[in-house]
Amino acid sequence: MSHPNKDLEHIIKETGVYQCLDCGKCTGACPVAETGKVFSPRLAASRIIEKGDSDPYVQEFVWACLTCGRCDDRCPSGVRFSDFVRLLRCRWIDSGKPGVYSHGGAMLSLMRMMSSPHLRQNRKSFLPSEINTVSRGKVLYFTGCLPYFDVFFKNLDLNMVQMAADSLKILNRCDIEPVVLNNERCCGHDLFWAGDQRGFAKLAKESYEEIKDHGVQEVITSCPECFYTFKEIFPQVLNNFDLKVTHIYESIEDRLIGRSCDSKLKPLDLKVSFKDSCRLNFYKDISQIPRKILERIKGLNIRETSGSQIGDICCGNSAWVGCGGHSKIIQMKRLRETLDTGSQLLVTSCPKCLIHLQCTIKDFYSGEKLEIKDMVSLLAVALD
Amino acid sequence: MKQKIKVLAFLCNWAPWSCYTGMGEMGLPVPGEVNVIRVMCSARINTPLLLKAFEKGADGVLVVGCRMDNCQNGKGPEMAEKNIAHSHEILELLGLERERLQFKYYLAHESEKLSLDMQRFVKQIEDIGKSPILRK
Repeated sequence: MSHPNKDLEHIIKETGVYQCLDCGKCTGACPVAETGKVFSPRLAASRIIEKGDSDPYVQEFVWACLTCGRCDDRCPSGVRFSDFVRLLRCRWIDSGKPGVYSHGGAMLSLMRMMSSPHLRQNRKSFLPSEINTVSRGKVLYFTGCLPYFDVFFKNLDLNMVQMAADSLKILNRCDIEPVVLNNERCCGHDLFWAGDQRGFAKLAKESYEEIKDHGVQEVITSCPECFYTFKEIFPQVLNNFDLKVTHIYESIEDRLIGRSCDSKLKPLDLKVSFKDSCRLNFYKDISQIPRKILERIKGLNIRETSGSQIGDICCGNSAWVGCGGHSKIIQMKRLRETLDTGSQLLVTSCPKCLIHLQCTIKDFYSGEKLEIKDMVSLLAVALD
Repeated sequence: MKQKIKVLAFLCNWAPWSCYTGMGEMGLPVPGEVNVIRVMCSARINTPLLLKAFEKGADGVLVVGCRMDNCQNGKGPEMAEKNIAHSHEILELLGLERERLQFKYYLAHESEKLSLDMQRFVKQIEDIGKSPILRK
């Protein structure tokens, strides 16, 4: 029997939802369901097949999902739930209804503004003088949203542009002098996952053209979301995409770890715990590099959390979609796990994990001795 | 042909709105470029809303509140100025002129001042030109 709604039928088929065996592994793995919220990917799947996407349960499901991909990873039938949710969001937005965004949709507004071809940004002002960059070249360092996050989340005292400066410092140590664009446009990861297909396609085109105009052949990113978008999504929407995409961890592994400068790493006497990012978890070989880097720094006492063996949980929010009680519970749970290991420092690999967890530390754990830092910033300290 | 500019003015319900209705009663000119939105307090207009205005194609945004000691809600204008300072930093990164976003405050009888300031603001934005965001 085919579904009465042709578009919906296509989405269901495309993402393999008909293959759902109703086994419940997705709900068992879901960080949102773990918080106690009535939230089940398999229930949403059966509701949508039965009643379509106007069902109230499905409508709430679509905007409460974190698209972290944990269910995709566990599903024995290969259902792509995250993609299913994304396509349902696209349908929602295309029908003219407003999405459910956190921070008043400010981040998505910024991305849409950046898709204007006439915009001339001024985002390079953070660059410290001791960093070597070039105006044209084969390799580009993609800063991503860091300068904007730095201003927008000023109240969190994260100094996020320092992360970009630290990444550039590391690249310089790897003998790479990259291009950094003053008018770089966002990768559009969040527009893509928030269901704004047209906005994303426009931004991707502008972003790609801006990069190609500077003779670039390889893009190095320090953000897992930018990496994922460049590697997986850009080739799907841009016919002529021919950039090599590298994560900064790969550059570090190739050019720093095991080389002579590796022995010059300053010892750090710290108990640390590592937080995986959901987008980098798609790349098993890359997601293991940060732990190798941590092991190289002498004096570091690496403490794994109880949950890290079965894959880290999400930081509670993705693509600036929704941020409610369940996001806070997830963040508090993740921080409690870290504190239970006795760590003084939580090392993250995604700027958004840094923002979300720092927000919860400020709100609930300000009395605890727990700091949070990105992997590149920690490595930059050891390289000093 | 020169494209007509679009200006958005957020007017607080108290003193500024009374100035605005006074402008009508006194027959003072309201520039055609200005689109007025009445809000309960200038502090309500936070950074995401200001960014949204620019995203949707505003060439200039005017946030109009009460004088600091005259606020019904306590710290409205102070908050509004904070929001605007925050947004200015983001506009700077985007490469948009900070003059495109301004805060003004009035007492309830200052209709003439509001009318003049609106005309001055429109002139200023015309001189800067259309915003690059939705420019064709």
